[in-house]
Amino acid sequence: MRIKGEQENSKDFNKVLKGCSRGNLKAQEDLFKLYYGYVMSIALRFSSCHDNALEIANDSFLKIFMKIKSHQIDKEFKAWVRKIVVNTAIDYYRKDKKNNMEISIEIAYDEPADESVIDNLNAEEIIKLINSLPMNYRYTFSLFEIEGFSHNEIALQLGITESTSRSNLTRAKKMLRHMILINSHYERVN
Amino acid sequence: MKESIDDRITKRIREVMQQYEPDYSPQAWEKLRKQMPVPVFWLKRVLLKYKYWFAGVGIVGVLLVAYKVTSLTASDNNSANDPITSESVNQIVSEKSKEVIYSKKVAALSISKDSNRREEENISLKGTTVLVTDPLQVAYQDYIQPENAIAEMPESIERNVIIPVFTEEISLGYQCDIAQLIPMRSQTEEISGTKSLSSERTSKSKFQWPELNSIFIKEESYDKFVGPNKLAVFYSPEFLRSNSLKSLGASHGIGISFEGPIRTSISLSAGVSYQSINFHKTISPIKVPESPDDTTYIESGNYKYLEVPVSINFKFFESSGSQVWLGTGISSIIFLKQDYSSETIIGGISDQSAFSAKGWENVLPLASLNLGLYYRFQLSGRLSLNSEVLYKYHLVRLGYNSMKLDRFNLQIGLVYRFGRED
Repeated sequence: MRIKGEQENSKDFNKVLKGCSRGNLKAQEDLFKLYYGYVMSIALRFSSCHDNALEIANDSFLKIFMKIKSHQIDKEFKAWVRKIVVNTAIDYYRKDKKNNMEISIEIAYDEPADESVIDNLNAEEIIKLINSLPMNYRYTFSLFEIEGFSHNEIALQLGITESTSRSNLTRAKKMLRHMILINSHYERVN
Repeated sequence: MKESIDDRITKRIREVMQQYEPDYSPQAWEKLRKQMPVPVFWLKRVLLKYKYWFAGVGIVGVLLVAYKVTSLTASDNNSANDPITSESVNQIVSEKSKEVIYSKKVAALSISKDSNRREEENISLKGTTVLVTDPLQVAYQDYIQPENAIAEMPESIERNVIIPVFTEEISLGYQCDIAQLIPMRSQTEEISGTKSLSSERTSKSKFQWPELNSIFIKEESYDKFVGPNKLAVFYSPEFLRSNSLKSLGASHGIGISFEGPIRTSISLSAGVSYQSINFHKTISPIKVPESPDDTTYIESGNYKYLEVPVSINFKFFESSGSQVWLGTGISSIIFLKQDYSSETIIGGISDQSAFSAKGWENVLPLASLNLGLYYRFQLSGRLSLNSEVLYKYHLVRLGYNSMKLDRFNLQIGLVYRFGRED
């Protein structure tokens, strides 16, 4: 289910928001139905698996239900939700940082991937690729390339230096290219 | 310029991900619904939110009540030991009659008809209940002459007397405008062969501990504000064990503390110390599946914080020039600085991230429970050498990496005693 801009302005939607601010369970379920896909799509970009993404999404919804009273209905709700999900994902990064034993793979060769393969990448494949990235690379890539954060902002949010953020991004892109290449080779062989 | 492969990949990812939204999953809603908090009563919410503050206030409250109770016990003991003075009798005379119930105490009744005191007869007896109501109008001899009275009633009431009362529980409907119950003194014990009031009271609240009597004994002209207060300056190295890092560490700090006596053997102390913790843990090497290289993970940091300990101390051993105290209390922690860094080294390539939190970000009102053993050696009249061993059990996790610590804190310093001499 996709959320349309008009949906947000409709009377029904305002009713749902008001119900949520009163703690009405039915309204909360309606809001969850409306925004589940949107929230999950953001969460998936920051997580290593579906379960992890669901955890981020659920935590985000809990925050949304708790803070919905503070949200002004005239402001864009979708942007507010997006901010909450990204912040929740960053919280997860901070929490898991000490346990983050993910590794980065240094690419031994730098062969360009087949261009047609890139254009044929679908959402599931892309999510799989992003999920395969080490946590620090995944976050830097998603924050910089999709969320539009600057390296300075990423450094502040993730507690890393700007140069680390830059290097993470470069390595993330390298890894993505490498994985696409491996996938395309594998498909050709089979 | 031709678009690079990386840019093309990024562009494709952005395009696809901006359009992609997974379908609604009823199972996901069920999972969330179970996680959703049940509406909580506002009072419970407030209690939960400020639980550490309430716990802190509660402990201070208990200490204050304990102090108050011990103060009252001691002052009662003092008044119990006071002899009848002319002032007290005069005060009694001037007072309006009132009902006095004195239960299960060894006591005597003092009656004075006029304030001109002559010879005092002092016959002490034990009694259990006395009820005094209206002004003395009647021949009280009728009332106060139980069969088991130990002594004879005085014949005259023209003077201040201590009259015999009774040996068993008795309710004395007694009309008297000048009456006071006076606890018996040692003479009573000789007569009745039972314990005196003061000893009975002490035995009720007595906790078997070496020299504990001194806890309840208030010294003559004792004044806590001019008592043997102490100011200590100390250096405190410590060993700490981090449950989360599974490592041992060492740190050090300096501080001052102020100690005020409550009783001869109890004191309250509060202080502030500056502590600095360094930690460094290398997890190396870790063989990661599907990776040709081993991974080394290094976690290190430095936390600087102020610690505010409050404790109650018991002196349980004393010899010439030496004292041993046992102390228990709590500590609050205010972080000043947190520097934390983690480094992952894979195949010789290092990936480092550092974090530095601003000062005053973390204030933990109830951070640790402390138990300490103190040894003091008197160097001069007012100066002592103080050494302490403290175990600090942390109730909350500390710092950016949420370390759960057990701390063995050593303190060595000088104690300057000011105010009245011991």
